[in-house]
Amino acid sequence: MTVTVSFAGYRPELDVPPSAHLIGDSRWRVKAIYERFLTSQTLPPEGVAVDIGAGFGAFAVPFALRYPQWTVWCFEPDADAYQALLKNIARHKLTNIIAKPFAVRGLDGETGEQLTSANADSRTTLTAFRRHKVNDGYLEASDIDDENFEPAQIMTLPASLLASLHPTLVKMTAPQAEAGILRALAPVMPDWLIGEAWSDLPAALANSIGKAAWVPIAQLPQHALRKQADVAGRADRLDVILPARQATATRLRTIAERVIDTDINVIVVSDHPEKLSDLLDVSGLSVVPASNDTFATALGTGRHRSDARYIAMLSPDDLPDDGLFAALLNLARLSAAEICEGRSAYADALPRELLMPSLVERIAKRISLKIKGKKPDQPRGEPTKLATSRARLYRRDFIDSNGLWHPEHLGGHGDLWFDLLARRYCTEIATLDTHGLLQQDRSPETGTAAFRALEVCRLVLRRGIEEGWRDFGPTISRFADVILRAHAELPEALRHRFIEGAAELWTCIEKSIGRDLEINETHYLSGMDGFDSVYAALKDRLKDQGPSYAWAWLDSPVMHSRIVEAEQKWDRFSGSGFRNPDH
Amino acid sequence: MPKLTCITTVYNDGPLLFTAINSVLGQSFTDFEYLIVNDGSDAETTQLLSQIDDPRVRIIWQSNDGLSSARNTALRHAKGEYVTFLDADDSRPDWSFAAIVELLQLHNPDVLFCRGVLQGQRGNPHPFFDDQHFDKLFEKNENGVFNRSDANAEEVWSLAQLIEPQSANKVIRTELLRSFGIGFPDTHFFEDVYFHTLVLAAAEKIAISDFPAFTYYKRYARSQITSTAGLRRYDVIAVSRLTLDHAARVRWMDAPLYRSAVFSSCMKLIEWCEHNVGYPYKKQYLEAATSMTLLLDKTYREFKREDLLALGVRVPGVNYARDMAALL
Repeated sequence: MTVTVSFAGYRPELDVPPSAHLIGDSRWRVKAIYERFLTSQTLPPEGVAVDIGAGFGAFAVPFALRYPQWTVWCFEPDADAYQALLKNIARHKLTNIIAKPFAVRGLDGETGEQLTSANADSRTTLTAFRRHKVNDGYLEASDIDDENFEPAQIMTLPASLLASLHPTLVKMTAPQAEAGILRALAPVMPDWLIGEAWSDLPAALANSIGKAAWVPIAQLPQHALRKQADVAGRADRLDVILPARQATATRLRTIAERVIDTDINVIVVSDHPEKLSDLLDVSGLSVVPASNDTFATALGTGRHRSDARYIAMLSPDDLPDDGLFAALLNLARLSAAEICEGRSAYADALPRELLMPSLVERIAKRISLKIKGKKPDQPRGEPTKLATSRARLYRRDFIDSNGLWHPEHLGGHGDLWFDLLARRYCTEIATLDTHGLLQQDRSPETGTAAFRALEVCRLVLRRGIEEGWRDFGPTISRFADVILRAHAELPEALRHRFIEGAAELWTCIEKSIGRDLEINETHYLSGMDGFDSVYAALKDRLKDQGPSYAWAWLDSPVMHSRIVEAEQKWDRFSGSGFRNPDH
Repeated sequence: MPKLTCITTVYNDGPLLFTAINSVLGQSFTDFEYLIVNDGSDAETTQLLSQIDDPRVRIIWQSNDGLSSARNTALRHAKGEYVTFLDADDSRPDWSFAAIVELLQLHNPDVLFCRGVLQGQRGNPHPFFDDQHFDKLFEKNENGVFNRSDANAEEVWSLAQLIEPQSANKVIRTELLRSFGIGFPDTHFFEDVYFHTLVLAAAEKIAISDFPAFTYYKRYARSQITSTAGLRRYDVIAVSRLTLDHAARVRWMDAPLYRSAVFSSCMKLIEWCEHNVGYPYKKQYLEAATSMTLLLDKTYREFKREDLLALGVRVPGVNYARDMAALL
């Protein structure tokens, strides 16, 4: 029996083994993985390709036809598939393919010896695999009992011997043997790596690939061992920005030591860097001076100093698990998600003893962990205790191209603005359940600062209108959450003024994008004492004014914390003639 | 005469332009000329272009006049038997020209349409949006060659019209462009639908490839805000008018299904831009799109929605097109 395989303009007819599973999978991989990925690459005219798990040659044969000046080494342990491979090499008169009936896996084998067609046979050894009982031809490099498999002893070549071939490209379909093969190849990693993987691969294995890698992980369609050129020229690294604020060097060191890892640095930003000289001995940590002592400036300064592909932002009040950011970086590299997020737990304050890891774990279990969902915009529930999470890693190109930063005038609410927009723009937040971060809830800014919540909502609304967002529903649901939370945390004396602002914001929303405003959201805000009457009065006053997107530009003094604060101050001077509209 | 001319236009692309240039210069097939038009780029991009030293490359400088004008400039200078395009931030696999030329020599078509790959912002490669259209065309002829005299030509040309109007996906006989005076609509973006429609309408014989010949990248490298929400979107209305008005004057495009496919491919873009234009511009945008439609030839009123859907491929915007056609 023969089938046609299409690759790069060649459509060779190929003999196939009896296994329908092997035929279907092999043809699918050629089109959906190898050809599709190599369409974005430029291979040199000459090279050495190593095809591990070559099957009947679905990739190797058309590849050898398209690249006649390349040498292609094929390894295939299944006897039926190997016989078909030999027939296909003969059928197409290919002299640039060397085929061997072996499996390949990472073994303690000899290194430094040149592998040749003649000596390969003598370098093999029998190792334990398991063969699938139904999908004939499917072998896994595992000897663990499984009812779907039966044990098999397979002639195996140590992957380290492949290093002597100095492969330009490796194609790998070697279930469960992937990590061992790549570790064995590490001294002479190829420029290109393609394949499919059936094991949980550490993303860092792709780091030393010369140019590009694309090895999707079966069952996890968005995850792949991948490497691609970064056109912005950023380093494949994570920088964690840590504003020093008033924290001691000891505290900063404790946090940094939990964060710093391979390819993970910490940038401490301080307006008094001279006080942090004790930190200079921490490898992977740098201290950067800031010219302004706000949180927003510190984050922005650290970001400008960073040339990393990934960025995270911490507060000195946060306490990340050991390994949180290493796990997030691994997830980011595998998934390429714009945002990767671990667990976040809220702590009112972090006592000193919490710095003990064992206690952190105990307390994290005791308190209610709020695990974020996968959808960028969640349906509204109760107001969330955590406005934003700092157990996060962002792709730098994502936040840069979407104009995401921490606006100075929003103070602590910059986190909220950043979060609302980041969730809006990203396609997926990849989540991590194994690690988390204890975070002190900084965001209930007391007094007039809480009015910034209204300003955040108005700015997000305006941006959405400018950009023509299709659906404001989830965003408006979050507005309602934000407003209720800010209101609940205000002192009684400021609540009425806040409600006036909330009613005005809601009127702006209704008149600009009323079609997205569900009646439920308005009912939800009715939970604030007095909202309904203020809102009704405002609507009545504006009843003759039609809808327009321009409403989103109608600013209100109540949305500006500085102005509300000024009102309070003026109000105290009875002789100033200032009339507070409240009175 | 080289077999192929490849055209890339450059405007302030910076280092990103080497995505296209390196992929073209890395082709295994070598009998081509590569025209790069520097459309009045900034100093950085101009300096980068000056580093290119390859006898196959000709760099043409012009005062900034937009993408369409730059491509037209290149078309005037093209010496190849066939011409194709590649945007500065896209790429071709090293086999692209070799496999293309093999098909050109085999079938000698006026136009060859190629499959492509879409690489999203997360880096995962996907088939290009129109992969299904190629599958349907191969169902009609497994060799992927079609003549306008074929009995099913109207169906085939309609399917081909619904292929994404992307410039890298087609290889056109240069003489065809010169004979029919086909170029790009100066001063406008969304130029590809005009070019795609006219090239297809002029072709007597078309072929399609089973292999992907280019990668189109969706990137974060440029601001999405300015590129998706602004007045630039209005260009699609003007280009649709130019396209539909021209098509209405081509006699063989009177065929109702084919004419509906042309109308639908324009309306798909108009609807997409309507979704993406900022709200302050939306009302005026809709008014302009409606006015443009009212100026069209009345024959567009006979919109064959069901027949288009019967082609068996996704036809985005088909309902929008039906509603707009009803205005006539």
